[in-house]
Formats: sequence, C-alpha cells, structure tokens
Amino acid sequence: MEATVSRAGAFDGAARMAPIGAFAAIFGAAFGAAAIEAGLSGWAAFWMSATVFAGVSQFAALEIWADPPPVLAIALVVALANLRHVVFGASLASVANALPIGRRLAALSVLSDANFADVRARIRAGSRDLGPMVGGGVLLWVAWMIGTAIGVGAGAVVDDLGRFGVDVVMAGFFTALLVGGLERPADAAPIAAAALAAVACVLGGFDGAALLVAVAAGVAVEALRPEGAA
Amino acid sequence: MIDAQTALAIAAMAIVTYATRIAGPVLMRFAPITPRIERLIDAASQSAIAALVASSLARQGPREAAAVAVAGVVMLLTRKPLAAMVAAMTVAAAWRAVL
Repeated sequence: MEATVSRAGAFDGAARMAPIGAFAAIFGAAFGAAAIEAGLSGWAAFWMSATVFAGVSQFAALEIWADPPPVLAIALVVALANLRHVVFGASLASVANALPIGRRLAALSVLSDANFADVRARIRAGSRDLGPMVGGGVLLWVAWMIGTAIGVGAGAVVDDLGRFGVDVVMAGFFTALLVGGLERPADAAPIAAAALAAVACVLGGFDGAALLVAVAAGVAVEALRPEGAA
Repeated sequence: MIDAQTALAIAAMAIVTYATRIAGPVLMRFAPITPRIERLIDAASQSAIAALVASSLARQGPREAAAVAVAGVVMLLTRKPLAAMVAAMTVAAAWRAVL
C-alpha cells in the first residue's frame, strides 16, 4: 500500500502540536539553564538540543555530565531513556516502510512522543500519511530550540510552570488520545494494566524499570484478549 | 566553543537517539506483519504512552491526577483533544490558585 508525507498533513499536525510547542519551549528553557549549570557551554547545549531533540534523555545526560564527559556512559543512559522510540517506530512501520528510503529516514528523524501519539490516532482511522508527524515534529523542534536558546541566554524564564497549568498539557494530551482511541470499554484493559504497572514501579522505587514493566504488562493483557476483539 | 570530547559526547547522543527512532521500522522489516503482531505492537506503543502519564502522576500529586482525570472525562464528552488539554490546564491552574 502507498504511503505519503503530505504538505497539508504536515500543516494540520503542526497546528495540533501548537499547544504542546508552548510546553516544549518552556521545557527547553529549563534544559538550557540546567545545561549551563552542569558546566556545558551555550553552544554545546544548543547543538545537543538541535541534534538529539529528546528532552528527557538530555536531562538524563546532564545528570552524569562531567569534564571531560564520559561518552559511553552518556550514550547508554540516552539509549535507555529513548528506548520507547523503538516501540513507536515499530507501530508506524507498515506506513513508514512504504515510503522511499530517503523520505522514511528524514521523517523518522523528528519522531517523538506527542507527534507519534497524534499520527498514530490518524493512522488507526485509516490514514497513510506521515505528514502530521513531520509537521508536528518540526514545530516541536523549533519550539525546543527557541526554548533552549532562551534558557542558555537568560536562565529558566518561567520558574513556576504550574501557575498557568502548562505543566499538565502533555499529560492531558496523551490522556485525551488514549481515551479517544478506545472503541469499547474493554480496550482500556491493556492501557490500565500498563498504567498500574508503571505506578507500582515508581512507588516501589524502581523508576528506571517503569517503562519496560508497563509495556510488558500491556502487551501481556492484549495477548490474553480473545482474537478479533480489536 | 566546544572541545573535542564534548563534541564526541553530543555526536554519540545524537547517533544513539536517531538509531532508536529508525530501529522500529528497520526491525519490522524482518518480522512477519500479521494482524496479531500489529495489534500487540500497537498495544505496546499505547502502553508506553500510558506509562509516561502514569509514572509522572505517581511522582506528582492529586493536582496533576485531577487535571488528567478531567482531561479524560472531557475527551469522552467532546472527542476534542484540544478541549481536554484546556480543561486539564484550567484545573491545574485553578488548583494552584486556590490551594
């Protein structure tokens, strides 16, 4: 089956990511400020944000940053923090692999959490267009870069994200798409299992294992559901 | 300026992260794509997103949990993610303003 990366889809995706972009810019400012604090130069923080574009893993790298930086340890921490991309990419494979190789490799370079969740919902509804992921990803990248630059130059400009509720934008968006994807109540079973497993890991002090355990729990529950329930 | 070791660390981060982004579609070229496998991989991706939300709520408190719960309800009622996001922000901002 054919797949595309359409311009119209890209603009739609970018529009839907705009609220999340506001969050990404503020999060980026916090990263820029934290990077300077950790001893990186402004240019190092800027290039890191530009080429890595994965906030949580960048913060994780700062935790173990030193002079000189331990390259292998940093690479390992970043790989673990970004392991979820592998699952996201796999679920896009039937569309992504139908694109010519150049477009496929370029489109995947901006794969991240929010634009994945957005395009996945469209693909489930029958779309074969990765445009929304690319448009949304470029918007998030630009917001992330603006934020990083501000953070490097001026420090974390907004120290209280909570006052306007911006801190819950991402969680609200993910929740909306998870709920929106339920076709019948039983579809919630794997998601609920994953959420409970993640909470148990965090409360039990195994933060690092939360993602893997949650994915295993969700997949196990889905596997046990009767065939044809989806 | 960026010294060589810092440049190397950033390059390593960028390469590793890009590898995680392309790994899924690459690996799936070697897997038989049956409806069942597609279903399980989709469940894995939704589980990963649920885990992002749930683990952040477990680290935070009732304010964030209330905001997310309201987002879920608003989504059920309106089917509009934007409305759900705005509702979550409103709850979180009001909670902070009142308490």
